[in-house]
Amino acid sequence: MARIEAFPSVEEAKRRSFLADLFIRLFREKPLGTVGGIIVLVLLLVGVFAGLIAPYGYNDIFVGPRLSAPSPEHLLGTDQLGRDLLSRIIYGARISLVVGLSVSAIAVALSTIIGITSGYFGGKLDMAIQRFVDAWLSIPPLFLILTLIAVAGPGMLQVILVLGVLFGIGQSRIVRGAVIGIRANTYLEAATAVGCKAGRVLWKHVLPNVTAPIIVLFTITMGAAVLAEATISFLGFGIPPPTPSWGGMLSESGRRYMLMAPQMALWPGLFLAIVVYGINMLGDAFRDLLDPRLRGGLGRYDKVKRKIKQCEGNQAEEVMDGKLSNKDQ
Amino acid sequence: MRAYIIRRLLLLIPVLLLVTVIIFCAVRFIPGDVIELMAAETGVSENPEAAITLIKHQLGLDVPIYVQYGRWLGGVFRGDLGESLWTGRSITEELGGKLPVSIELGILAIITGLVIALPIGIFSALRQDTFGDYVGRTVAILCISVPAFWLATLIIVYPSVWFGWTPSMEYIPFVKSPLRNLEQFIIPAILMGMVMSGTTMRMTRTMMLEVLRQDYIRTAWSKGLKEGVIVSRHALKNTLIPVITIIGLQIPILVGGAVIIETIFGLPGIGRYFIEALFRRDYPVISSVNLIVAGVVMLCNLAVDIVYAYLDPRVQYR
Repeated sequence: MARIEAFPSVEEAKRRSFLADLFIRLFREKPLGTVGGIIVLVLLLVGVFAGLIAPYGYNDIFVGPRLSAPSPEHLLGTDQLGRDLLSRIIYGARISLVVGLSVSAIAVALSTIIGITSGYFGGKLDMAIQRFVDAWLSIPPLFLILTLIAVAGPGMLQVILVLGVLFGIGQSRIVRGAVIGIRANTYLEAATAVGCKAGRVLWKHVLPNVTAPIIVLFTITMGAAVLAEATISFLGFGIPPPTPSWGGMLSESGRRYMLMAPQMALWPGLFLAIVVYGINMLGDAFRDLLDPRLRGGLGRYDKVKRKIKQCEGNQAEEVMDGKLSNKDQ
Repeated sequence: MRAYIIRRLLLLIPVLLLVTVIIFCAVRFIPGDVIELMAAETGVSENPEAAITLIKHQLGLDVPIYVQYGRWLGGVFRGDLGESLWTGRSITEELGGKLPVSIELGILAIITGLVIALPIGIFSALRQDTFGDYVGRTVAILCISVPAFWLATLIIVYPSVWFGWTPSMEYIPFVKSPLRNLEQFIIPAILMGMVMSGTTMRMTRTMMLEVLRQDYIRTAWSKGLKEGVIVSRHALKNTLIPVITIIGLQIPILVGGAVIIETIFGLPGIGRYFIEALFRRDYPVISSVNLIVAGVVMLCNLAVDIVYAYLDPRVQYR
């Protein structure tokens, strides 16, 4: 019965917007995705209200306790300069949030533009763009990031731009694939036939039909971007100190003191892992919900199996007719 | 078949050329010139202008960028990747010593990745939306989400705090002592394999789910075949074909992981070579490593496509 509720009637679906419907289905069908969504929501709130939540400023240096163990004043202890670790981690959430969101926005915008143009127009333009993307994709991402960061210089804005462009070009493939998938549809032909200009066709007819992969792309990119920022900050090429990037807190300067104060190695990485995990879980759930290939057919494998074991004999024909997916729900 | 491979190899050439252009241009725009670093290091304080000009000429950096590119590319075609700006040693020779380390690490990582990924992925698909599936998928996404550099740091920090044990930081070649070499490589390989296994596991699960909904699986059920036979003989074979592709696609990520893992565990592979070159703005080394790695990645992709077509009779060479 639960599955029937999950698929709203046509009228109901029409009343709700696409995104609202997506979130309702996420909540009903995907418990793991919901957990991911909650983690992302918490990150969002902590990032926005970091100034209110953090007990101290991220760069306030306390004279007494350096590298101190957790205490009532400093819940997670202090670092090598005597800064409150918890406050730095809370402000670090803001950095991850800003990097994650802006990189995803740039990347998705770029890959949509490249992917739609390349996929819709095809031909020589597509050929040229795709060979460039080939070359781009065959350079390992970390090598490319580090080389480009070395060009752009350290800093948050540079990191965001480099990661945005890197993911944007690479992932344009996915949008292109989606566009090619719908290009043969008659509604595009019809739009052209009634005299729509190319720009209008792309904007009004192609773009809305590739929204699903774009939403999935946005979530996936966000997780990858947060992780990439942490990695390059860890290697010393990313956001320079004293900005509290989670990756930077684990970097060379931090690692020197980690044997004396292991909590310095533990916490930033733990929160990083939780956040990336949440984002990825959410992205995964979105993909499952939006991927048409995972719908239909005989339905869930384990239910099919159970059903087949139940209906020996007279009902077997029905099952084989594919009616099971309807009856079973 | 042969025509297909030749055509694909020919297609590699323009792409590789594009790679060299991207890399060469990017590298030359790196600020904080190597010349200034070197002039500062050699301590030529009187008349720094002349020293800079001299060094530039010695290194061949005083000609326009397209001439530099032409010279470098000419060398590449002759199998000469140039010399390090700092040590003056031949990059080709240096890479010859460092590639085996990275390749060994990569192969071990792929093996551990598959050993983790395949069983969990298959299990997860067979028990879709059950508790076991949730555990499996959580593990998969954790493998992708947990930063490898953090785990590596923890492995170095905590055992030494608790038991006074630290992984060996001195590289032991395989030919010298195979056992101790493997002992040294196993932790880095597992860490890299974990990152790989996450994606592979998800791919295995998704493909398995897709295959299990196919008509021929229904036919197999209706023939009265046992579950084990259906899964292993009918579903698994068709599942594994796309999984091979995903392994190929992950090689660039694997190489990226090698940069971090080699740096943390002190393994003298190309990843560490690259990072050191970046810090010192060693242009030829940066370009060469990028080029070699890009070439390896593209050859791997080609190999994957060929294997793919060989395994899947539905794919035809065209």
